[in-house]
Amino acid sequence: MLFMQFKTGKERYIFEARDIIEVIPYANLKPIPKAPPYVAGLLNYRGHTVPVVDVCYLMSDKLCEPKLSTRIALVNYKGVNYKNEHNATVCIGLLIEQLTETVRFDEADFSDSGVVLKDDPYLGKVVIDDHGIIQLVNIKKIIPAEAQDMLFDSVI
Amino acid sequence: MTIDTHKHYPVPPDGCWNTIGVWGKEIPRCPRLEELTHCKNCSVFHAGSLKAYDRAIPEDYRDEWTRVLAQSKEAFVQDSKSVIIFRIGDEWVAIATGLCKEISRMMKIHRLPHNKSQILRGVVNNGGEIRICFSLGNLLGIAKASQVFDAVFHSVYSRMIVMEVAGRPYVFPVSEISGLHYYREEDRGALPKTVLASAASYMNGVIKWEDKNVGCLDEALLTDQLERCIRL
Repeated sequence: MLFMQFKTGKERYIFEARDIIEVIPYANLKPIPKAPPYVAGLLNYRGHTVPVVDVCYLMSDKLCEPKLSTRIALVNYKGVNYKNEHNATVCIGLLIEQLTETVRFDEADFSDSGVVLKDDPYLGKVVIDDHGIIQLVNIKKIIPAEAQDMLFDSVI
Repeated sequence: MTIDTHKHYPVPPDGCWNTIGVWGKEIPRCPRLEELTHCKNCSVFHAGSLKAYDRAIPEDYRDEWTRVLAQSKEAFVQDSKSVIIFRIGDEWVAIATGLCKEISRMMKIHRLPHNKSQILRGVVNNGGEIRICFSLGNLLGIAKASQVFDAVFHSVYSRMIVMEVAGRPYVFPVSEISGLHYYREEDRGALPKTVLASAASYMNGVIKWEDKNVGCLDEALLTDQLERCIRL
């Protein structure tokens, strides 16, 4: 399976590449007043508005630094769309630091991390390579429940 | 050869690929070159390339990408068509890329006994499978090249195109292949009246490519004629 790798600080994380539509540079985003800090803003993607979420902030309480390696992964996300249809596929942008590499692992390579955080259910199994431990991130669970209504009501 | 990302070496600040690697001339050479042949296969170069991303975003970069991403790209993709442009004799001809299965080196044509057809040339061995080989030049009535093309282009190679029409593969030799080209439907003009009647009956229009007029082969017309000429 193909995974997209990123880093927050020095720690490496991966998420499944199959949900990615496109990885794009850190374009200008329209800020949303009074939105929580992890909402980076709105992106005009080919004429559609796509909400962009700062994954670094969600994971480490630090906003993504504006660097060339900071990029936006556009992913398909199951949620409630603007027509109030449940389980509709919506597009969402994930702003992530050091999003520069893809890696391949087999499902059998993964093992349980042994630590399950109730507040952060997005952290999943771990895999070990020569550089250390990489943790799998479930991007479907990374957006806090209270943010989902707010984000997906605006998505087209 | 795969990138050996599993080994970990530190990246030198000035880039070893510029000194003891393939872009440098310093001696002694990097000992890993022997195994990896080229720096692009090396994990140090790989890590170095990732470091290039780890810097501040240049001015205007974000503005430019914001503009690019805001534009719709479907519009262009939808009405553009892809063709392979090749030369037979003096004529440049385009064929829909979707029809072409393979472009291969020249293969030996085995003639068929008692075959007097100018169009059916014989059969070729294409990767272990027997394919019918025909002359598109003769089908279109194109004469042998009068100009010396080798003087203009440095390397001109004859090739064979394996195409599939109506589920059947056919092979035909061409004098040279230019490559892929995209055009939009509205850029395709009507055939000039002066085009040979034989060639015109397989073409559905002319596109401009560089300073040349290139005739576009029509799949349906070509299939009809091929099936008629080469009856199996």
